[in-house]
Amino acid sequence: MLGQAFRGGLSPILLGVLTFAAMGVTSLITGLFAHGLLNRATTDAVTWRQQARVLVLAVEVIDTALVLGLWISLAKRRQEAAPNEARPLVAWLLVTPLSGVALGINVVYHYVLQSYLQLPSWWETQEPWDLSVWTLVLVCVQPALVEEVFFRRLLYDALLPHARVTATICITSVTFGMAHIGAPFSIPVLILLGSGLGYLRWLAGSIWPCIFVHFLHNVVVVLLENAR
Amino acid sequence: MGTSDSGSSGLGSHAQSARGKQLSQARGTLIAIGILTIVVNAIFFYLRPGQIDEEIQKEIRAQGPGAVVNKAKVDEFKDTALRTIRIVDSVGVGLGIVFVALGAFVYQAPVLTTVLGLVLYVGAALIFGLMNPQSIAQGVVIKVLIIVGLAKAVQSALAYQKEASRESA
Repeated sequence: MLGQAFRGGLSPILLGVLTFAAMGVTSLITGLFAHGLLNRATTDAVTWRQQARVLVLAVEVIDTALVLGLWISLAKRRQEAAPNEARPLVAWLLVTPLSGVALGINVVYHYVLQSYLQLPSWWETQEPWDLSVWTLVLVCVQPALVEEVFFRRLLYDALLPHARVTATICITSVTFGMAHIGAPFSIPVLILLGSGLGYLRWLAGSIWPCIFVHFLHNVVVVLLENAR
Repeated sequence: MGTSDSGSSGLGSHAQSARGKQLSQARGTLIAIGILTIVVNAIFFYLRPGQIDEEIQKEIRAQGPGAVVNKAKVDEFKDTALRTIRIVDSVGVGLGIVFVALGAFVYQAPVLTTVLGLVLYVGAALIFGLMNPQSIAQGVVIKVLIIVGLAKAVQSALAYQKEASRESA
């Protein structure tokens, strides 16, 4: 039944959704494993932090491999989005103010969530990421690079020939939000941030400003978490 | 020439009609998922206080007959648990409404609605699986069938839109 349904191959969009599902399953498995480790009474904070790093590293290696696999499989089929509407200078000028706005929205949203809805503390990160090279690579560099390549390059370019810019940005930002299954209460604000990054991608005609905004945002979030 | 033109347009309209049927199935699937999600989450929204009380009593009984219960902490836990679960149930109802809306607009924006429907369904299944691991195995066959159905709908939507653009050009 599956073979007949998809005779002729999967479209690049479906390959992108399949990659999203595979990344989600990886996060689900490691998330369940992490909850299991956390619930063990003997786990102290140092051990938990080391275990968390290993789990995140494993997830990120798998995600990077999946995105690279998609890149390679789409290499021949990928249609470059026409850059004739791109205004890269404007996009780069907007990088700093957009980063500020993104951070502001993120901070206010989570403040309101925690203060007024009073979610249980186990939804928060158990230990903030420390200021180290590990954190820089795992929390700032890899997500900025791999997520932007996947959402704002591969998936975006696969959708644009078949949908208007707004629809493309809508789909990529919802997919971006839903990919963060470990932080389900953050999904609404992540969809909003994803749509900002999507419009930046359209404006710039390239993902480099998006990578920079994403990286800057994550760095400041880690600094704020450590300052708390 | 005339014969081959009418022959090819006949075949084309057959294929387009088949894709239209698949889009119609996708609409039915999305609306059905939406209504089911709304109903199930609405029912759970009202049943939660009783469920939480039952779980708390189960936990107290498991501590044994001599257990000392801190009523203030139990009440605080109950409030937080109820608030959190009700937020989740409300989000579930909202998601159901989104699925119904996507189904309603499938012909107006076939690619947008089918791709979003697929992404939201897969994402929601993963998120609820993480929040409640016991739910992962429940209805796994139905979930797979729905995902395959929605994926087929995406393929059909792409072809339908391409053909519709060609016809209108």
